[in-house]
Amino acid sequence: MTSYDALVIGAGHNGMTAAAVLAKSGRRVAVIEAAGETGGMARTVELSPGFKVSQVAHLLNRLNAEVVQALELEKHGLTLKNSTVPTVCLSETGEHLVMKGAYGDAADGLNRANATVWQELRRRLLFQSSLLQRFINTTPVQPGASAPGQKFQAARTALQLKLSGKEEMRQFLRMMLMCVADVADEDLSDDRLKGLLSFDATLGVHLGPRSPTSLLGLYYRLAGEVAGERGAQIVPKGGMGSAMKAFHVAAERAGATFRTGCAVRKILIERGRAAGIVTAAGEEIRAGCVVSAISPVTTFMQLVGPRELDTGFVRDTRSIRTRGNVSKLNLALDRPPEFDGLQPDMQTARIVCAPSIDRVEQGFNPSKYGEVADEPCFEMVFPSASDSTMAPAGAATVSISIQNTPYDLKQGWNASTRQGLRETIIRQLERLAPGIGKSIVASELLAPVDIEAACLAPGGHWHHGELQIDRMYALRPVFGAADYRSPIDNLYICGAGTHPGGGICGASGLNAAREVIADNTGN
Amino acid sequence: MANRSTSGILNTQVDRDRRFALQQHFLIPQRRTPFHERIAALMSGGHWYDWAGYDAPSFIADEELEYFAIRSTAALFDITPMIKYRIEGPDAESYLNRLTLRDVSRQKPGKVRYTAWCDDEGYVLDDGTLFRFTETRFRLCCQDRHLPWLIDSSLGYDITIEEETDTVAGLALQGPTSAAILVDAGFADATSLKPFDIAEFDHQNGTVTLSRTGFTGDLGYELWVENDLAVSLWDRLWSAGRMRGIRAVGYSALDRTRIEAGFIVANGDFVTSDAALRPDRARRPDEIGLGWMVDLNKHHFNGKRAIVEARQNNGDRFVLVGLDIEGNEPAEHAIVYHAKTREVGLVSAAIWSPTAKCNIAIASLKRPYGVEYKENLWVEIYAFRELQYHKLMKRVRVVERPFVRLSRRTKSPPGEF
Repeated sequence: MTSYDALVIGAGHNGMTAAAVLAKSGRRVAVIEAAGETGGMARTVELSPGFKVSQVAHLLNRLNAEVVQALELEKHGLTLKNSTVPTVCLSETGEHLVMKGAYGDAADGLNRANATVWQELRRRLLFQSSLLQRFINTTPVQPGASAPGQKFQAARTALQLKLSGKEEMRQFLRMMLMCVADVADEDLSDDRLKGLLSFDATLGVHLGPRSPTSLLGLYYRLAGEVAGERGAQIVPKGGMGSAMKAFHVAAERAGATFRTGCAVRKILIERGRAAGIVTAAGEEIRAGCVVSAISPVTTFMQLVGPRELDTGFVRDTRSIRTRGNVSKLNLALDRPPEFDGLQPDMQTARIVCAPSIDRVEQGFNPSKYGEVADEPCFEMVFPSASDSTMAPAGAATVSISIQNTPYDLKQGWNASTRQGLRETIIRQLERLAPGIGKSIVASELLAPVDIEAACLAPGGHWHHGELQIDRMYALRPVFGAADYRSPIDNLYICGAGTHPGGGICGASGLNAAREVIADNTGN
Repeated sequence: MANRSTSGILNTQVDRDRRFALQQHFLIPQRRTPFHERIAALMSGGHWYDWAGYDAPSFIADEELEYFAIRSTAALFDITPMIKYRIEGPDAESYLNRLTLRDVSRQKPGKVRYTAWCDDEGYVLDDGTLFRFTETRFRLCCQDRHLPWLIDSSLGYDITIEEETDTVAGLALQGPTSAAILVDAGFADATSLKPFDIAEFDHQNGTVTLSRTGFTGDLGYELWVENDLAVSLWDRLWSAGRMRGIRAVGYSALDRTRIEAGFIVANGDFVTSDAALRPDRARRPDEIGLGWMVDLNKHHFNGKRAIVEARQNNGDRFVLVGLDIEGNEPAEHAIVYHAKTREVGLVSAAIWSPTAKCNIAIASLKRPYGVEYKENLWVEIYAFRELQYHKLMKRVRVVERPFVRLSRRTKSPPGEF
C-alpha cells in the first residue's frame, strides 16, 4: 500500500500548481489523473495526422504572475515575453478593427471620436478591474475566521479606491453591477468594439450583454494578465498542451509524481477526515491530505458522497449551475484561410466574430430556451500561424470557441445537431473567408456534453459552475467552503469551481496549496 | 404519495416538481381531525385553537378537572395533528442515523425513542419521537413540517418518505387508570408493554398501533389508527373508560402535566432553527438540555461538526434549566435576574404545580448562569391584581427536571387503579 503526504486529484493546471507548491514544501505528493495525459481542459490534441490543436482552451490571458513565479514556468519551457497577440474584430464589410497591445492600448480602425472615448473607457475598466485583481491571490474570508491578511487586502483596496478620488469611486460603485451593453452604449458608437466588449464579458457564462451584472465578466477578463500586461493574450506555441507541459515539468521537478489513466472512485474518509483515495480499479492510496482540483460538484457529490456531508451543504452544492454553453470547433485545413480584409500578419491574432451588441444578445436569447441562434458569435485562433509545427507544411489549423450553445440543447446533442452547428459556423466563415469550406480536411466539434465527457467537468462548463455574482469570492463554490477547505478535515478543494474561477490562471491551486501549508496538514 | 430518494448529483426541475407534489397540506387551510365531532359534542363552547393546521381544543369544559383527570383517572387527548412521516427502506436506519442525534442502530424494532435533529450549524430543527416498527420501517413524529429537509437529506439512501399526518389518526390515553381501560376495552396484552414499547392490536377489520408513550410524565399510552377506524376506536375507549373516570382533555391541561414532567416544546421553550428569524435565537442541543442525545461515536450525522466545534470552543451560549420559585404566583415569561439586577434569562413555561405542590418553571439562561452560577437568581413576576401590576421579585432555585416523578409511569406491568 502506497502512502503520500498529499494527493492531488486532477492534473489540470490548478492541480499541477497545487502539487508543485506542496512538493516544494517538502511533502511527498502524487497527482492522480483520470485521462491518459495531463493538462485537463488545456490539452493539445492531434485532430488528424499532422494537424494539432488545443482541444478546449486555446488562449493564455490570465496566467497568474505569482503562479508563473512560484513554479518558475518560464524556466520549464513556457515562453511569455514578446508573444502577445492582438484581437481582430471582424466586420462583414471587411473593415476589421484591430485591438493591439494589451486589450487595445492602440486600436486600428476606430474613428477619432471613438478612439478618444475608448482610451478613457479602457483606462477606467482597467482601473476598476485592478481593484478586483488584488483578490485573485487571496483566500476568501470565511465566516468566523479572523483572517487579518485578507482583511488587510480589503482595507487596501478600499483605500486605493478612496485615494483615486470621488469621481473614480462613484463610477466604480455605479458601474460594478451594470450590464456591459449599457456601459458600452454610454460612450461608444463603434459596433465592432461594442460587440467585442459584449462578447468578452459574456463568453463562458450564461449571460447576455444586456443581462444585469454582465460587466463583471469583462472585469474578470481584464483582471487577468499575461507577461505583466493586463488584458493581453498569448496563443502558446505548441498549443495549450505545451503550456501545460511546463506545469507538469515544474511539478515533477519539485518532486511530485504523476499517475495518469487512473480514475478516482472515492475519497477515503475515516471519522470525518480524508485519509486518501480509492481508484476505479479498487486500489487504496493513503495520504495525509487530499486536494481535489476537479469540479466541486463531482468532488462532494460523487467522491465524498452526501452521507458524509450535512444536508444544507448538499443542497448548496447541488444547486451550483454547471450547464456549460461554449462549444469548440477545431478544423484542419489544407491551406491557410484567407479572410477578406485581414492583414497577413493578423493570422496570429485572436479573431472575434461578434459584430455588434445585438448580435451577441441575439446569440444569447435562444440559449435561454435550449436553442442555438442562427448566427452565434465566436472567437478563433490559427495555431498553425503561430507555430508551423501545428499543421503539415502549407496546411493550417483553426480553433474556434462558439458562444451560447447550451448544454441542455432542447433537441439533444447528436450527430445531426452537431452537424447543424458546424454548418452554422462554416456558413458564417464562408462569407468572411470565401472557399474556406472546401479547404476543410478534418474537423471536430465538441459540444458542452463532449467537453463534459472529455474533461469530466459536469455540464462541460469552463468554470466548473457559473461564474456570476452569486458564486464569486466567498460564495464560490458555496458559502462555507470558499477558503479551499471543506467540511471534511484534510480535504481541500481548488480548480475553476473555486475562487477566483476558471481560465488558465492557476491562482486557485496556488491559494489552496498555501492553505494546506498554513494548516500544516499532510506534513 | 411516496418519494423515492432524489435522483442525481444536481438539483433539477424534476426534483423540485416532485417535492412540491409531496406537500399539499396547505391546500386545505384548516382541517378537522376524525375525532372532531366527538370532541365538539363534549365541548362547552368554541375553545378551539390552531395546531399545525388542525382545529384542536385548548380545553373541553374545565381546565382544572381535565388536569386532574390526567393525574387521577384517565384522559383522552387527540394527537392527530402531530406531524408524522413514514420512513421505509433498506437504508432507513443509516438515513435516520445521519439525520438525527441519537444512534438509531441501538434502537430495536418495537421501540420508540425521543430524539432531535439539527441543521448544518448544529441548531435544532425539531425534536420528536422516532418509532421503529421493523428493521426497515420507521415513523417520525414532530411538531413542524420537515418534508423538504427530509427529502434533501435522503440523497444517496435507498428509502421512501411519506407524510402520513392526514391519514393516520392519533389518541393519547394518559393517566393512572389508562392501562385498566385498555384491558377493559379488550387490549389485554397492553399491560405487557414496557415504557417506549410498541405493539399492534386488532381493531374491527384493521389494526391499531399502541405505544406506551406520552407527554404527561404519567402512566399512559398512544394509539395510532387509520382515519376510517378512528371514531370507532374513540368509542371503544370511551365506553370502556366510563367507570374509570375517562375524560376528554384539551391542550391546557396537557401543557401543565408536561411542564411537571419537565418536557420542552419546540417554539415554546426554544425556537427551532427554521422558525428563528433573529440570528441569536436558534439553539444547539447543548443549549436546550438535549446534549445527552448527541452520540459522537456513531457515523457522521447532520450538524455534528458544528456541535463538536461549539463544545470545543465554548460556543454554546445558553442553558435550559428547571426552576423552583418561592411563592405561588406562576412566573410565565418572567425575566430571570442574577443578584436582582443583571438580566440573565427568561422563563418559557411556568405553573403552580398541583402535584409537586410548588411553583415551577422552565427557563433559558445565558451561560455561565445556570451552570457555574446557580445562586442568587431571581425572577421578576408581574402579578395582575385589580388593574394593577404587583411587581414581585422572587428567589429561585435551579432544580433537576422532572419536577414530578411518578413511579407508575415506568412500573411494569402497570398497577391497577
